[in-house]
Amino acid sequence: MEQRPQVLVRAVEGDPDAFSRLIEPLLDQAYRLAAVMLADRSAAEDAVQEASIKAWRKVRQLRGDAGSLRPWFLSIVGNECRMARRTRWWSVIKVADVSSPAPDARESHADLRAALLRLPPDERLPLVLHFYLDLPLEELAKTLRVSPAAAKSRVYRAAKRLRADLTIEEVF
Amino acid sequence: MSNDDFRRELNNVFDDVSGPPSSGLRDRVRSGIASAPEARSPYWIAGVAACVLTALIVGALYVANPLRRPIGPIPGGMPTPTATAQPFVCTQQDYMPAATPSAGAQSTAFVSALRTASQGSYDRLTIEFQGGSPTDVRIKGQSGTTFTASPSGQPVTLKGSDGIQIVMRDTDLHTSYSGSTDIITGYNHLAEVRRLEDFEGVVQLGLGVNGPACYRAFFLASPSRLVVDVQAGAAPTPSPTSKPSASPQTFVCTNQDIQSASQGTPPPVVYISGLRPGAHGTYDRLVIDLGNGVPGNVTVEVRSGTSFTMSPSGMPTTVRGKNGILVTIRGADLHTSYSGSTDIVTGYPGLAEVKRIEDFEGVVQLGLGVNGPACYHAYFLTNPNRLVIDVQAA
Repeated sequence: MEQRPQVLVRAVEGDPDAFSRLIEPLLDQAYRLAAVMLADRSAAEDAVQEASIKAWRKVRQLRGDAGSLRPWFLSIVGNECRMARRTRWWSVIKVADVSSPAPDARESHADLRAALLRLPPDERLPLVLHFYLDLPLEELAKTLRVSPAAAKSRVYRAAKRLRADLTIEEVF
Repeated sequence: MSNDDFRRELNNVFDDVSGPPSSGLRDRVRSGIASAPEARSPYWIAGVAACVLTALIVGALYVANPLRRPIGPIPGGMPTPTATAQPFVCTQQDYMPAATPSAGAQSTAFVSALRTASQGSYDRLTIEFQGGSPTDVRIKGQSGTTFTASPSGQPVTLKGSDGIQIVMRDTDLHTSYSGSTDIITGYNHLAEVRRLEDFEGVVQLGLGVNGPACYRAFFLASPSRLVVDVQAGAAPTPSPTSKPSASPQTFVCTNQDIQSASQGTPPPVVYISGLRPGAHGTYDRLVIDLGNGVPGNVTVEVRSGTSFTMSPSGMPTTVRGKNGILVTIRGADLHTSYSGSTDIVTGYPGLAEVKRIEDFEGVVQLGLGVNGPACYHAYFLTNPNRLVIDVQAA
């Protein structure tokens, strides 16, 4: 295992500034992940903030070197998005524009968007991580907390929900 | 669509859904981390701490030996309440202690307990203090059980037929006391004890009595406490003319602009920290917690219909209900200190929904959907700062 950088060591020792500096480069990706998962930009920022605080509280549990930070943090963001969707049962959940589900018109932007937002969170998450955040397969697997083979399978299965004639070679 | 087209199109969709994060996200996260407690200690540390604390408490109790202490008069001849019925002498006059046990020792007396007990021929309210006793206590009886809450000015009706008002100055009910502020006893004499005021060092308690209010009051020490014994005249049970116990408060629909309760300069940005709707019988209430101050510019507008225009998107949105009320708070922010829902569907008879319409560049707009007429009464309260909007139930 690589030696941990000093900023990570300080963050684990309880330095909030060090922790902030550590995760700031990841906030943009975390926000994009949350925004697609929740389809609500404001809720996404809430989720990222909440996930950051949870990550700060759990930073001692972080294993590995600095390379482990991104999948670890993104997995917390993903969990926070699941929690946010679950706890919003009593409020009005913003539903994506799903008025035109026509399966034959996938090529259009609107229909692809609608199809994406119809996917359950567990299928949407690997797509975002792979296609949008361009996570390497190893990191993708760590974020999903599954094996690389299982991660690959999840991405492919979800992508096929959007475009049925995709082959696995076209996805990876 | 080729594979590359699919990837590109999918990324366009992702971009379209997410957009860029707001410029304040970084600061928001940084401040959240700075204000959050540090990483929690492992559970075993908490377990060991709990065991040590328990051992200390048990040891202290054993050394103090309170249960085996011989019962006798308190040294110094201090009056002591007993559980046995004492002859009740009804003073029924304004009461002010000539010298409280530790008056002047501390500027504020912190109420630490409110206890009620039935003593047979009378009922007792004990108000226990920490760090001294109030320097000024006034008690007076009144006919009827309607009091005026302060500083809201709202009428408050207690159970019973007559009332007793206790006013204590240089006293505080919110620092050391965390129990109920509305105690309904079910006793024969003392029906209810309710906080009327706890503001700027003045604590007022209203007592509802099941009959003509007859009381006596005295101070006890070690610990410092004010005892108020209440006897409901000749009628130990509620008289037939007693008022209904759950009489609703009168809702006054003002539909007027509101004035800030704060006389000082408002802070540049007021951070809204809570949106709390509640049902109150004849009206429903929305409390907007204002974390760090009272904003200088708040407008409340009645809308016909329940459609609003989101800002800055310009998208139309509709809330539940028949009519709408738009609350605009300038110099405020709903995203820094508030992390709850921004679209609250209440299910109440009056206030149907509260929805964020705008939270952008220091302007917060909330759209309220109401089931009945758009009739509201809005006002500020302080300590903590909050904007209260009451809406008539349908």
